[in-house]
Amino acid sequence: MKKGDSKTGAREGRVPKISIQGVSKEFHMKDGKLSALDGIDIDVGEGEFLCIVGPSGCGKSTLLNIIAGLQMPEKGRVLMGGKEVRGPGPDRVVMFQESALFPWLTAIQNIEFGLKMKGVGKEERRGIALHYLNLVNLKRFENSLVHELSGGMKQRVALARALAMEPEVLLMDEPFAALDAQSRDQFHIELQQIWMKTGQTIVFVTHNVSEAVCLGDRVILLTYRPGRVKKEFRVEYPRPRESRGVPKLGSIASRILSELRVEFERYMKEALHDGRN
Amino acid sequence: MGETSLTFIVFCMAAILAWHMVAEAGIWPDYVFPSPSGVFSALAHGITDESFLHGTIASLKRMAMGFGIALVVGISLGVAISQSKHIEHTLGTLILGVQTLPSICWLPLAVLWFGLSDKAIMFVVVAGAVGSITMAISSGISNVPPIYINAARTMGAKELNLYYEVIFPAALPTIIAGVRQGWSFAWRSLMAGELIYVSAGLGQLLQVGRELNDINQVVAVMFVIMSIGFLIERLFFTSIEMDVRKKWGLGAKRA
Repeated sequence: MKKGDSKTGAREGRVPKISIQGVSKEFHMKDGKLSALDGIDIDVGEGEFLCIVGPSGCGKSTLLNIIAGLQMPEKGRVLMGGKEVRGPGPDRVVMFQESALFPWLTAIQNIEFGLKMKGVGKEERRGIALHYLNLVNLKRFENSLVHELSGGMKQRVALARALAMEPEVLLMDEPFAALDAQSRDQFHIELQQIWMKTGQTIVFVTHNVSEAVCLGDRVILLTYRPGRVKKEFRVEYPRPRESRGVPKLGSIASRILSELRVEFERYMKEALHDGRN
Repeated sequence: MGETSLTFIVFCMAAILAWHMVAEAGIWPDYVFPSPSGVFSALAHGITDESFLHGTIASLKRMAMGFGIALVVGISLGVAISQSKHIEHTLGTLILGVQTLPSICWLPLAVLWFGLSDKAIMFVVVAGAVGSITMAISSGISNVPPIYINAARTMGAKELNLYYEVIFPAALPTIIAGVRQGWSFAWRSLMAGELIYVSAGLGQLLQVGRELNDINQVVAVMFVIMSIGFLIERLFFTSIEMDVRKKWGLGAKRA
């Protein structure tokens, strides 16, 4: 689906796959309103791997949920292939930080779930599910129950479950944040390899800058509360990239980090202020 | 498992022996304190003349009907309550309040409404079970982690599918516990209801024993009632509950 030349290159010329237009979101708290997102404009190209970073509380998960259609923005809209998003749909599958696997189903049944909802027949969906289970190297765990899997294995199943839907857009909400560093590195390589094969559009939210730089064609930094687009960085470097020991990636990461530090300080100040009240 | 059942059998034998010794001591006359042999012969008699069998069938039929109705009503009410905060605060609170009423307290009302009839007994059985089932369904549904629902919705599950494939299975541990409790309330209500009416059920056999001054039959029927209750609890509900707990990796805690 995606040609080699477009792996890291710019895609400004095309119609964006996702177009986030002036999205704002407020939360109503006991003591007034809290502005989570303020006027976000982002275009995501077809087949692009976009990472969104920001400090905790910048509303990046909220933004992802809005793209998914799980939450509605107060202002602005999200267009998916030119059509406005009005609710969740199987063309935009979310992978959450916790695996969100269903404990009453086995690994393979979890992967089949979305296909079943789509109305894919029994034999066919079993075949597709096995293919994706194999892709994430968990073939032997087909009939394992969720609680029998380790944290990393659960996320592998969750990834397979998302991929099996063959969604146009894969939305990832800090999917590797709860994993140990080694599994995370492994996931980074594998996710890039899978993405190079499938050419899906990925929006990946994280607070981990080196993860964002390792994975993204582009990294967008959000400000702390309300979340606004602060800066964007292009990462042009051949894939699959390693998340450590690459000087060019390291220098981009440190530029992002110094920007992020400013936001983090604001966050600390407000946290202290809130603590005093 | 084998070891615990062996211990249990030894315990039962010791208890029967102690009972036998007290009865033999002749402290009370045998129409007040029955002997194990008297009770066992009443039990054997009741089994051979099939009166216990017919009583059990009559009671279980009534139970199945009443409990079936209670399930339908309880599931509908539970789902309705979980749909909105308003219904929860109004209807939910009402049911919670009514549930504190021992179900046998419905009997006088049921008799006034339906007369001394099967319907009255059935009504008490339903009244006994509906509350627990309703509350279990509604709390089970409202406590389903939102992340499951969100995940399912992004994978295209909606409306009935969402209920059938995600919300009910996710709420199952809570639902089973409530249905089990509803069952045991219903069983108690049924026995109490059958006492007052020529019902052909086990409760009726108990009452006949009292009228004939036959303490052996009374105790024998009590054994039958206890055994059936125990068997259904153990064989049916406990095994389903264990199955679910095992699948979810919740450990082998007993409710």
